[in-house]
Amino acid sequence: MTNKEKFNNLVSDETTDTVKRNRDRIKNRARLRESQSIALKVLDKLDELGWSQRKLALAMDVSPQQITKIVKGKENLTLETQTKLQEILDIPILATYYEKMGGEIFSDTHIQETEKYTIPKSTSFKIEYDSETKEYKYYQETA
Amino acid sequence: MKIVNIFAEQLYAFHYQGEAENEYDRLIEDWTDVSYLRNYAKQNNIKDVNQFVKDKLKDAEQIEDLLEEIATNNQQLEYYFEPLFSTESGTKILSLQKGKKGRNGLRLYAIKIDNNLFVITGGAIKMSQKMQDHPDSNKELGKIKKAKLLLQDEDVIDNDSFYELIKEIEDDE
Repeated sequence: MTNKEKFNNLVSDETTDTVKRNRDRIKNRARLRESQSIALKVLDKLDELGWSQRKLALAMDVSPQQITKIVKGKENLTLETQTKLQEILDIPILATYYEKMGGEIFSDTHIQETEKYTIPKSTSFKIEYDSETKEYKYYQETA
Repeated sequence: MKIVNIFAEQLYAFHYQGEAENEYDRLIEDWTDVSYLRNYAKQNNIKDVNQFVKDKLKDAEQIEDLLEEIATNNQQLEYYFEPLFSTESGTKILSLQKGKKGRNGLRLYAIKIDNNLFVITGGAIKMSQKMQDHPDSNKELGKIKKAKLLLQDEDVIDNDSFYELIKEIEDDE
Protein backbone atom coordinates (compact mmCIF):
# COMPACT_ATOMS: atom_id res chain seq x y z
CA MET A 1 0.00 0.00 0.00
CA THR A 2 1.23 3.49 -0.78
CA ASN A 3 1.31 6.29 1.79
CA LYS A 4 -1.69 7.77 0.06
CA GLU A 5 -3.72 4.58 0.32
CA LYS A 6 -2.77 4.10 3.97
CA PHE A 7 -3.70 7.73 4.66
CA ASN A 8 -7.05 7.36 2.92
CA ASN A 9 -7.91 4.56 5.34
CA LEU A 10 -7.63 7.08 8.18
CA VAL A 11 -9.83 9.71 6.59
CA SER A 12 -13.36 10.11 7.91
CA ASP A 13 -16.29 9.59 5.56
CA GLU A 14 -17.68 12.90 6.75
CA THR A 15 -17.91 15.55 4.07
CA THR A 16 -17.03 19.15 4.79
CA ASP A 17 -18.39 22.36 3.30
CA THR A 18 -15.18 24.23 4.04
CA VAL A 19 -14.56 25.31 0.43
CA LYS A 20 -18.17 26.43 0.00
CA ARG A 21 -18.13 28.40 3.24
CA ASN A 22 -14.83 29.93 2.24
CA ARG A 23 -16.30 30.91 -1.13
CA ASP A 24 -19.35 32.45 0.56
CA ARG A 25 -17.14 34.60 2.77
CA ILE A 26 -15.26 35.84 -0.28
CA LYS A 27 -18.54 36.57 -2.05
CA ASN A 28 -19.83 38.50 0.99
CA ARG A 29 -16.54 40.23 1.65
CA ALA A 30 -17.75 43.81 1.19
CA ARG A 31 -20.61 43.24 3.62
CA LEU A 32 -18.39 41.37 6.08
CA ARG A 33 -15.93 44.27 6.11
CA GLU A 34 -18.78 46.61 7.07
CA SER A 35 -19.86 44.23 9.85
CA GLN A 36 -16.25 44.09 11.09
CA SER A 37 -15.93 47.85 11.04
CA ILE A 38 -19.16 48.22 13.04
CA ALA A 39 -18.00 45.58 15.54
CA LEU A 40 -14.78 47.52 16.15
CA LYS A 41 -16.66 50.78 16.64
CA VAL A 42 -19.04 49.11 19.08
CA LEU A 43 -16.23 47.51 21.11
CA ASP A 44 -14.25 50.75 21.18
CA LYS A 45 -17.26 52.67 22.40
CA LEU A 46 -18.11 50.08 25.06
CA ASP A 47 -14.54 50.41 26.36
CA GLU A 48 -14.79 54.17 26.31
CA LEU A 49 -18.08 54.14 28.22
CA GLY A 50 -16.99 51.33 30.53
CA TRP A 51 -20.08 49.40 29.46
CA SER A 52 -20.37 45.63 29.44
CA GLN A 53 -21.91 43.86 26.47
CA ARG A 54 -24.73 42.86 28.80
CA LYS A 55 -25.47 46.51 29.53
CA LEU A 56 -25.64 47.22 25.81
CA ALA A 57 -28.00 44.27 25.37
CA LEU A 58 -30.30 45.75 28.02
CA ALA A 59 -30.16 49.21 26.46
CA MET A 60 -30.97 47.79 23.03
CA ASP A 61 -33.56 45.38 24.37
CA VAL A 62 -31.91 42.39 22.70
CA SER A 63 -30.37 39.21 24.09
CA PRO A 64 -26.71 39.17 25.22
CA GLN A 65 -26.18 36.49 22.55
CA GLN A 66 -27.22 39.00 19.91
CA ILE A 67 -24.51 41.42 21.12
CA THR A 68 -21.96 38.60 21.11
CA LYS A 69 -22.84 38.03 17.46
CA ILE A 70 -22.61 41.74 16.59
CA VAL A 71 -19.15 42.18 18.09
CA LYS A 72 -17.82 39.18 16.20
CA GLY A 73 -18.27 41.27 13.07
CA LYS A 74 -19.93 38.57 11.01
CA GLU A 75 -23.62 39.39 11.29
CA ASN A 76 -25.63 40.86 8.49
CA LEU A 77 -27.14 43.57 10.70
CA THR A 78 -30.63 44.81 10.03
CA LEU A 79 -31.26 48.49 9.58
CA GLU A 80 -33.11 48.39 12.90
CA THR A 81 -30.06 47.04 14.72
CA GLN A 82 -27.76 49.54 13.03
CA THR A 83 -30.05 52.43 13.98
CA LYS A 84 -30.23 51.25 17.60
CA LEU A 85 -26.46 50.93 17.84
CA GLN A 86 -25.97 54.38 16.33
CA GLU A 87 -28.47 56.05 18.63
CA ILE A 88 -27.63 54.28 21.88
CA LEU A 89 -23.85 54.38 21.52
CA ASP A 90 -23.67 57.61 19.54
CA ILE A 91 -21.35 56.11 16.96
CA PRO A 92 -21.40 56.79 13.21
CA ILE A 93 -22.84 53.81 11.34
CA LEU A 94 -25.30 55.27 8.87
CA ALA A 95 -24.97 58.42 6.79
CA THR A 96 -27.73 60.04 8.88
CA TYR A 97 -25.25 60.35 11.74
CA TYR A 98 -23.29 62.95 9.83
CA GLU A 99 -26.32 64.47 8.13
CA LYS A 100 -27.90 65.20 11.51
CA MET A 101 -24.61 66.50 12.79
CA GLY A 102 -24.37 68.80 9.78
CA GLY A 103 -27.81 70.17 10.53
CA GLU A 104 -26.85 70.84 14.12
CA ILE A 105 -23.67 72.56 13.07
CA PHE A 106 -25.62 74.90 10.79
CA SER A 107 -28.29 75.63 13.37
CA ASP A 108 -25.64 76.48 15.94
CA THR A 109 -23.63 78.65 13.63
CA HIS A 110 -24.29 82.32 13.35
CA ILE A 111 -22.40 84.36 10.85
CA GLN A 112 -21.40 87.70 12.23
CA GLU A 113 -19.74 90.51 10.43
CA THR A 114 -16.50 91.56 12.01
CA GLU A 115 -14.12 94.39 11.42
CA LYS A 116 -13.19 94.72 7.79
CA TYR A 117 -9.76 93.39 6.93
CA THR A 118 -7.56 94.89 4.29
CA ILE A 119 -4.32 93.39 3.10
CA PRO A 120 -1.41 95.67 3.83
CA LYS A 121 -0.20 96.97 0.50
CA SER A 122 3.49 97.01 1.33
CA THR A 123 3.65 93.35 2.35
CA SER A 124 4.58 90.51 0.05
CA PHE A 125 4.77 86.81 0.75
CA LYS A 126 6.92 84.01 -0.48
CA ILE A 127 6.42 80.30 0.07
CA GLU A 128 9.15 77.75 -0.51
CA TYR A 129 8.85 73.98 -0.23
CA ASP A 130 11.71 72.18 1.47
CA SER A 131 11.76 68.65 0.01
CA GLU A 132 14.02 67.37 2.81
CA THR A 133 11.91 68.42 5.76
CA LYS A 134 8.71 68.22 3.68
CA GLU A 135 7.68 71.54 5.11
CA TYR A 136 6.62 74.79 3.57
CA LYS A 137 8.73 77.79 4.49
CA TYR A 138 6.83 80.97 4.65
CA TYR A 139 8.53 84.29 4.25
CA GLN A 140 6.99 87.62 4.90
CA GLU A 141 8.76 90.50 3.33
CA THR A 142 8.12 93.90 4.85
CA ALA A 143 9.10 96.85 2.78
CA MET B 1 -10.11 12.98 16.51
CA LYS B 2 -10.84 12.74 12.81
CA ILE B 3 -9.19 13.60 9.55
CA VAL B 4 -11.57 15.23 7.10
CA ASN B 5 -11.25 16.14 3.47
CA ILE B 6 -11.22 19.83 2.55
CA PHE B 7 -10.55 19.76 -1.14
CA ALA B 8 -10.44 16.98 -3.73
CA GLU B 9 -8.07 14.25 -2.61
CA GLN B 10 -5.37 16.79 -1.92
CA LEU B 11 -6.03 18.90 1.13
CA TYR B 12 -7.21 17.47 4.44
CA ALA B 13 -7.52 18.78 7.99
CA PHE B 14 -7.55 17.34 11.47
CA HIS B 15 -10.78 17.70 13.39
CA TYR B 16 -9.83 17.34 17.04
CA GLN B 17 -12.05 15.96 19.74
CA GLY B 18 -13.94 18.66 21.62
CA GLU B 19 -13.74 21.09 18.71
CA ALA B 20 -16.86 21.98 16.75
CA GLU B 21 -15.02 22.23 13.47
CA ASN B 22 -12.01 21.05 11.54
CA GLU B 23 -8.82 23.05 12.00
CA TYR B 24 -9.18 25.20 8.88
CA ASP B 25 -12.75 26.20 9.70
CA ARG B 26 -11.99 26.64 13.39
CA LEU B 27 -9.00 28.91 12.74
CA ILE B 28 -10.73 31.00 10.08
CA GLU B 29 -13.69 31.43 12.46
CA ASP B 30 -11.32 32.93 15.05
CA TRP B 31 -9.26 34.93 12.58
CA THR B 32 -12.37 36.62 11.19
CA ASP B 33 -13.84 37.27 14.66
CA VAL B 34 -13.32 40.92 15.60
CA SER B 35 -14.07 40.32 19.27
CA TYR B 36 -11.68 37.34 19.45
CA LEU B 37 -8.87 39.24 17.70
CA ARG B 38 -9.36 42.30 19.88
CA ASN B 39 -9.17 40.24 23.08
CA TYR B 40 -6.15 38.40 21.71
CA ALA B 41 -4.37 41.71 21.04
CA LYS B 42 -5.14 42.95 24.53
CA GLN B 43 -3.99 39.73 26.18
CA ASN B 44 -0.73 39.97 24.25
CA ASN B 45 -0.18 43.63 25.16
CA ILE B 46 -0.35 44.84 21.57
CA LYS B 47 0.03 48.62 21.44
CA ASP B 48 -2.31 49.40 18.58
CA VAL B 49 -5.13 46.95 19.17
CA ASN B 50 -7.35 48.07 16.31
CA GLN B 51 -4.51 48.03 13.78
CA PHE B 52 -3.66 44.51 14.90
CA VAL B 53 -7.29 43.47 14.39
CA LYS B 54 -7.46 45.09 10.95
CA ASP B 55 -4.18 43.48 9.89
CA LYS B 56 -5.30 39.99 10.91
CA LEU B 57 -8.67 40.40 9.23
CA LYS B 58 -6.84 41.28 6.04
CA ASP B 59 -4.47 38.34 6.51
CA ALA B 60 -7.47 36.03 6.96
CA GLU B 61 -8.91 37.31 3.69
CA GLN B 62 -5.63 36.41 1.98
CA ILE B 63 -5.86 32.89 3.37
CA GLU B 64 -9.44 32.61 2.17
CA ASP B 65 -8.29 33.71 -1.28
CA LEU B 66 -5.49 31.19 -1.11
CA LEU B 67 -7.83 28.28 -0.37
CA GLU B 68 -10.09 29.41 -3.20
CA GLU B 69 -7.09 29.53 -5.50
CA ILE B 70 -6.02 26.05 -4.39
CA ALA B 71 -9.55 24.80 -5.02
CA THR B 72 -9.82 26.33 -8.47
CA ASN B 73 -6.29 26.14 -9.88
CA ASN B 74 -4.54 23.02 -10.91
CA GLN B 75 -1.34 23.99 -9.14
CA GLN B 76 0.43 21.34 -7.06
CA LEU B 77 -0.01 21.97 -3.32
CA GLU B 78 3.76 22.08 -2.89
CA TYR B 79 3.59 25.46 -4.62
CA TYR B 80 1.68 26.91 -1.67
CA PHE B 81 3.65 25.42 1.19
CA GLU B 82 7.14 25.98 2.48
CA PRO B 83 9.05 23.63 4.77
CA LEU B 84 8.85 24.57 8.42
CA PHE B 85 11.57 22.49 10.01
CA SER B 86 14.93 21.29 8.87
CA THR B 87 15.43 18.70 11.58
CA GLU B 88 13.32 16.20 13.44
CA SER B 89 13.99 18.01 16.71
CA GLY B 90 11.92 20.77 15.23
CA THR B 91 14.08 23.55 16.55
CA LYS B 92 15.04 25.27 13.36
CA ILE B 93 12.53 27.17 11.34
CA LEU B 94 13.25 27.56 7.67
CA SER B 95 11.88 30.88 6.69
CA LEU B 96 12.23 31.29 2.98
CA GLN B 97 10.41 34.57 2.96
CA LYS B 98 12.46 36.40 5.56
CA GLY B 99 12.45 40.14 5.29
CA LYS B 100 9.72 40.25 2.72
CA LYS B 101 7.24 43.02 3.08
CA GLY B 102 3.56 42.44 3.56
CA ARG B 103 3.97 39.04 5.12
CA ASN B 104 0.91 37.36 6.41
CA GLY B 105 0.67 37.26 10.20
CA LEU B 106 -1.32 34.04 10.28
CA ARG B 107 0.04 30.53 9.99
CA LEU B 108 -1.51 27.26 8.98
CA TYR B 109 0.58 24.18 9.63
CA ALA B 110 0.39 21.01 7.59
CA ILE B 111 2.10 17.69 7.17
CA LYS B 112 2.92 16.38 3.74
CA ILE B 113 1.68 12.83 3.26
CA ASP B 114 2.56 12.41 -0.37
CA ASN B 115 3.04 14.48 -3.49
CA ASN B 116 0.22 17.00 -3.70
CA LEU B 117 -1.33 15.59 -0.51
CA PHE B 118 -1.32 17.59 2.72
CA VAL B 119 -3.14 17.50 6.04
CA ILE B 120 -3.60 20.67 8.12
CA THR B 121 -2.78 20.05 11.77
CA GLY B 122 -3.54 23.54 13.07
CA GLY B 123 -2.44 27.13 12.95
CA ALA B 124 -1.64 30.24 14.96
CA ILE B 125 -1.30 33.98 14.86
CA LYS B 126 2.39 34.61 14.38
CA MET B 127 3.53 36.40 17.52
CA SER B 128 7.17 35.37 17.73
CA GLN B 129 10.00 34.41 15.41
CA LYS B 130 10.20 30.91 16.83
CA MET B 131 7.14 28.81 17.41
CA GLN B 132 8.42 27.84 20.85
CA ASP B 133 8.51 31.46 22.01
CA HIS B 134 4.77 31.97 22.22
CA PRO B 135 2.43 29.65 24.15
CA ASP B 136 -0.09 29.41 21.29
CA SER B 137 2.34 28.50 18.53
CA ASN B 138 4.20 26.27 20.98
CA LYS B 139 0.92 24.42 21.55
CA GLU B 140 0.60 24.06 17.78
CA LEU B 141 4.08 22.59 17.67
CA GLY B 142 2.86 19.94 20.11
CA LYS B 143 -0.13 19.27 17.86
CA ILE B 144 2.09 18.84 14.80
CA LYS B 145 4.30 16.39 16.68
CA LYS B 146 1.32 14.45 17.98
CA ALA B 147 -0.20 14.29 14.51
CA LYS B 148 3.11 13.16 13.11
CA LEU B 149 3.35 10.38 15.70
CA LEU B 150 -0.15 9.22 14.88
CA LEU B 151 0.61 9.14 11.17
CA GLN B 152 3.87 7.32 11.82
CA ASP B 153 2.06 4.77 14.00
CA GLU B 154 -0.22 4.12 11.04
CA ASP B 155 2.82 3.93 8.83
CA VAL B 156 1.54 6.74 6.67
CA ILE B 157 4.62 8.95 6.73
CA ASP B 158 8.21 7.95 6.88
CA ASN B 159 10.13 11.19 6.71
CA ASP B 160 10.06 14.68 8.15
CA SER B 161 7.60 16.67 6.20
CA PHE B 162 6.18 19.58 8.10
CA TYR B 163 4.96 22.45 6.04
CA GLU B 164 3.92 25.97 6.71
CA LEU B 165 1.33 27.45 4.43
CA ILE B 166 2.78 30.16 2.26
CA LYS B 167 0.85 33.31 2.55
CA GLU B 168 2.57 35.57 0.12
CA ILE B 169 0.15 37.38 -2.10
CA GLU B 170 2.48 39.15 -4.47
CA ASP B 171 -0.05 41.79 -5.49
CA ASP B 172 -0.22 43.12 -1.97
CA GLU B 173 3.44 43.88 -1.74
